[in-house]
Amino acid sequence: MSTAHILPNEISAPDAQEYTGSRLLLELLKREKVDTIFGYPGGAIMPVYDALYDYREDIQHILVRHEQGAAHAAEGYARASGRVGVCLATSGPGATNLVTGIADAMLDSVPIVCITGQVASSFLGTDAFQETDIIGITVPITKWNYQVTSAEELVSVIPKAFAVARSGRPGPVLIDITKNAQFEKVSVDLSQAPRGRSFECEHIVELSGLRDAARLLNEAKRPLMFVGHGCLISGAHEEVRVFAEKADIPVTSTLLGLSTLPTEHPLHVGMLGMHGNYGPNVLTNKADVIIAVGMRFDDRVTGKLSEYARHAKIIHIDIDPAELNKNVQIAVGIVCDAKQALRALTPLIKRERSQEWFDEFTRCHEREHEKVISRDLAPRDGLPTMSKVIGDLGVVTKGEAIVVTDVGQHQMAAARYYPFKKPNTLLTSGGLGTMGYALPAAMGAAVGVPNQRVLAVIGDGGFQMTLQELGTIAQWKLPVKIVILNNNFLGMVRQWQQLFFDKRYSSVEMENPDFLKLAEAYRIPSKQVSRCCDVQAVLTEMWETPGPYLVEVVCEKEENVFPMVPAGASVADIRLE
Amino acid sequence: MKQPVTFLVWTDNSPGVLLRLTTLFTRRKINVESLTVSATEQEGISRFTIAISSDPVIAATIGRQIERMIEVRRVFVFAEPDIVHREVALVRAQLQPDDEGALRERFADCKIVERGSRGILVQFTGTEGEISSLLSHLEPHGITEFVRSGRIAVTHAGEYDNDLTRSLHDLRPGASEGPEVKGIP
Repeated sequence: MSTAHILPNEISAPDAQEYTGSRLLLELLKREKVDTIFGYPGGAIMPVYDALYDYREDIQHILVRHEQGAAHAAEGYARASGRVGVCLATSGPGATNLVTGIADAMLDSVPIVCITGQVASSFLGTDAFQETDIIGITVPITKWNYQVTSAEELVSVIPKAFAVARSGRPGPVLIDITKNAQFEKVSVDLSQAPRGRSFECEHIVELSGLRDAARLLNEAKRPLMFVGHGCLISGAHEEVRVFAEKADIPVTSTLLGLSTLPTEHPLHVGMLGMHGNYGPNVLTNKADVIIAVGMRFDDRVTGKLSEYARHAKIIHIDIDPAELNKNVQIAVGIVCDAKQALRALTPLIKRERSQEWFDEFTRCHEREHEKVISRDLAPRDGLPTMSKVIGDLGVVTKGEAIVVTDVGQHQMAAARYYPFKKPNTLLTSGGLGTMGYALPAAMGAAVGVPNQRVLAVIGDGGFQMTLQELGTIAQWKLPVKIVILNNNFLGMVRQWQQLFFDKRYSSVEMENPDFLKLAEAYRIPSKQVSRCCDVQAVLTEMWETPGPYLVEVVCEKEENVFPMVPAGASVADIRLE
Repeated sequence: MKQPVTFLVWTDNSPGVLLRLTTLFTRRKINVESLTVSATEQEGISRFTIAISSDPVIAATIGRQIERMIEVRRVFVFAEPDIVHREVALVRAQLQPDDEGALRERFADCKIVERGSRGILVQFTGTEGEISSLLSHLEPHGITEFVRSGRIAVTHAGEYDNDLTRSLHDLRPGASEGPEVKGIP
């Protein structure tokens, strides 16, 4: 490997200390300011766990109940705190259980470092006990991975792992450490060891398109701004607001870009995509200039590509050059961090508000309100709708919660109806759409930002995919407020079966456990609510009770999420019912 | 519309790079038609020549995805006429001594490596098309063994001179200038 040459020549012997690979790993993690590890021990990682015992003052280890929980918790920690999340697992099944979380982090650009134990290097390739080729398995789902077979490699590999994970477009890194490297003793002067910065991917900032972008925007009659996750990763929420206000341009968000602008901001016209708002979807195809910042024109956003934004010249700002011209043909590409690009672009903007264009959004919103929103938020009778519960949660939490959702109908309801006030307050699995994400990710967020309150909104299906993490939440008394929106169905799949498969409800109905007894078993206080009029009171009690709390809301069974762009349809063909 | 595309990729010489690179093709079900890797004149740097047949727009996207790999230093994506490419072939054929003259006349660059019971072993360097011609020429005599190296390729004279002479160690891995794309719309 290219970095190995740093050792041992550049280490001056007099200040060198002897470490085992395991202790060296923990020293290097400390140097990266790691304060928390989510993990699960096992045979091939035992030397590291043994060393952790001596580092428990510096690094807290949160023992999860399944390694998938560790990976999602590391994601939640990273997304909420802005620091790199770390998880630790043993070889074989420990490592493979991380895979879903790693893939999730890859698709949503989340910086996590996963450290796995591996059989001793003399056993590699022999089908040894708990040996899997986790490097081979995780190649397509990591930004970088590397197998360490000798302790001295750690000195350069660990800082590089953190630098790669957090720099440029963030992503997951997996470091596999053979057991012999964990035991091996090595003499190292850590003051001479390379710093992560020297490994950071230096993206050549391509700003030459700025003037073209400004000219297009200044001349536009129907401009539209898309904000994506890149704006939040870059911490560019303020730059987005300043730019949008100067340009006086409607702003719409991808699912992962939500909370960049507060929901109530007058320029915020809603969410893009399959279950986004009516106006942003329909009017994408009427816009003459689109400026897309930190987003990647995912198929859930674009619908049918050949009919997408045909009248628009697209300005695309993204830190990852591989995203430019990948799905849509752009007029101007700017390879840059969102914050830096917007700061440079804003002074060049000089344009008049196109009131007629805004009026079109207002008309669309009125239509959506009449057909969808009013019904969602004011259910006629019977059980609460998911949308209503989310609306009530918005009232109870004053829009100040960190909302972590799972995947499905409740996720879309949360995205559509939660009134986000502060940036980076929606954590959701967008790219991979991982059911089971919410509970462990919320747990990680609660550890990462202990001064903020975390709300996990989960469907009955997804909850049962990772519910074992109730054990972790209970053991650590993590103040996660859990709201299960229970319709006894895999609701999104059921909705598709209703609309596109002749109501043939194939394997979507769930006979659920008693969620309150389950919570009780874990000594987590809980309540069930099934009447609309009681929802706010129960949610208030949950929100104001210290520590973890679980609320099960018995929801209307066959609620559908609208608007909806059917799979393969144009965004202009979005359905309101 | 598919067309032949050649990738030149310079990477750190580290384990796993080959797998990571090839998954970028296999995940799109693109068959790698030829792949050669070797050390370069710069220590620690490997050079890949990868030939595929693909929609050129997709090839350009793959070029950008290759370039964001942490171990990758530089990427060129070239359509067919914009690159100098060769292969080496070793062909063993039951050629009679009388037929050797005709072979040398038609394929002046070929070289007889050894003679034995299964025929003569011919070494030949040329484009894929020239190697196919050699095969057609030898086929009537009976081919007993055949291997070709896969494509290696360089840029044309006068192109990218500055870029190709600078040290790749000065370029940080993952540093993105965007791949050089030529002959692709």
